Amino acid sequence: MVPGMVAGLLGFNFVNACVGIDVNGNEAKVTREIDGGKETISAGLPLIIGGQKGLVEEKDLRIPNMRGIMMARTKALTLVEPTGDATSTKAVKFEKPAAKSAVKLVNADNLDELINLLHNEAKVI
Amino acid sequence: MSILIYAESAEGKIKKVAFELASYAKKVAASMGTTVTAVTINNSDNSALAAYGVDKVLNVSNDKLNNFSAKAYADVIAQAAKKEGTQIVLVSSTTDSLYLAPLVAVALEAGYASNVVALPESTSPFQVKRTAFSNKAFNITEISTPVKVLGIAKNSFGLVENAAAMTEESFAPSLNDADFGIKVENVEKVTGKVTIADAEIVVSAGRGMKGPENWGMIEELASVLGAATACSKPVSDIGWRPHSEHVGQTGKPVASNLYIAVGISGAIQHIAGINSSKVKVVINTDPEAPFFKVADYGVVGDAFTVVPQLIEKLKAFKANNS
Repeated sequence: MVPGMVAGLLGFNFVNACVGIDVNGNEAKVTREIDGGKETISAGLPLIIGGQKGLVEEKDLRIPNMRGIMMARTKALTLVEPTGDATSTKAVKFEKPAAKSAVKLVNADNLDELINLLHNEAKVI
Repeated sequence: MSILIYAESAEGKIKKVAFELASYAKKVAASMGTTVTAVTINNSDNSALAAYGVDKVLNVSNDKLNNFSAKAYADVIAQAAKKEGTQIVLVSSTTDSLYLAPLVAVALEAGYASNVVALPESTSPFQVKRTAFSNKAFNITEISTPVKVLGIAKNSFGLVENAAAMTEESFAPSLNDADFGIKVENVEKVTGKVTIADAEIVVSAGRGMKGPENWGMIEELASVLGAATACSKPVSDIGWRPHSEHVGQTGKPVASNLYIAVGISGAIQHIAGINSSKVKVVINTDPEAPFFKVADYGVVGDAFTVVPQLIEKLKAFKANNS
């Protein structure tokens, strides 16, 4: 939601579900994950991307080292007050989901019963 | 003043999610004394929408829209909404709809509520129930803008047949270059396989499989059921299965009719992602596995004996029941 709205409000190009990006000057090649595959997209900057798992390989994730963390404590923190209008949506109430009934266990030797339950009771196969 | 739905299509056919939107829209329209309009893009046969209560189709036909472009499609939908004087725009929760929905909302200065699971609690003030905290709870969200965009959660409302005398007209919104600032260079799609997003049944497996070489039986089980294959986070992180199969809180959400979990213990984050599935079956050697607490049906046993047996029995079942 948020990346798209920011892009809409700023009028910037926008790609969601981004799993790869290569920036070259004022152009970017972005890989977007779609149902059942991937799209390669070229987009001009300025660009907003909605990143997704897979954007950075696990092995390339950088964990801050102790020196970096300690140095961060001395860096200046500029506080910017938000300006702007009222929001158009707000959560007025929260509800817990309905209580679940206990699992129906089927014996590993009686898988016919599982198939029977899925077909006749749950009606999902 | 009609309710507007964006009816997605693929390969010349209206997608099932569009029928869910139509069913939802019809109920809301009936309670508000108005009608349902669907906007379709580059789809020749929209007749299937009539069965679910769509009164009018605005069909857009434009070569420039052959490839999905969020900005362009959002512009089309926003213009259709303005033409109809719509106050409620419905989109689904497919990847494409999630992509364009915020752009539609901004264009119409509308509040946007995603993951809506039920008809509005009230229309004045406008309040809808949505999932919250990765499916662990619900919240009632109030939208205060005159126009509202609702993203309906997959498999949450159900299909309601309501045949309407549907009319269809051509709609030609004006599109400009800015709508096409993004160019799709290449699409790589695995054809012939059901995707997790579209699947009615998903067969998923985790660390209990002990190694990637053992996945053959999972793929076979999926094949017998016409299901998509999925996996838990740990096995996608260590590369046993591709990232695209990872389902869970930080992976893909699953909202299928049936979810079968093999050798997955049921960590909270995994369950959060698959909780919208209607029926959950868990197969695990550990009777204390947390997944059994949320399952509908369970088998305590060794996957390596249970799954092959299940495959054979399902094959026999399918042969006798087609």
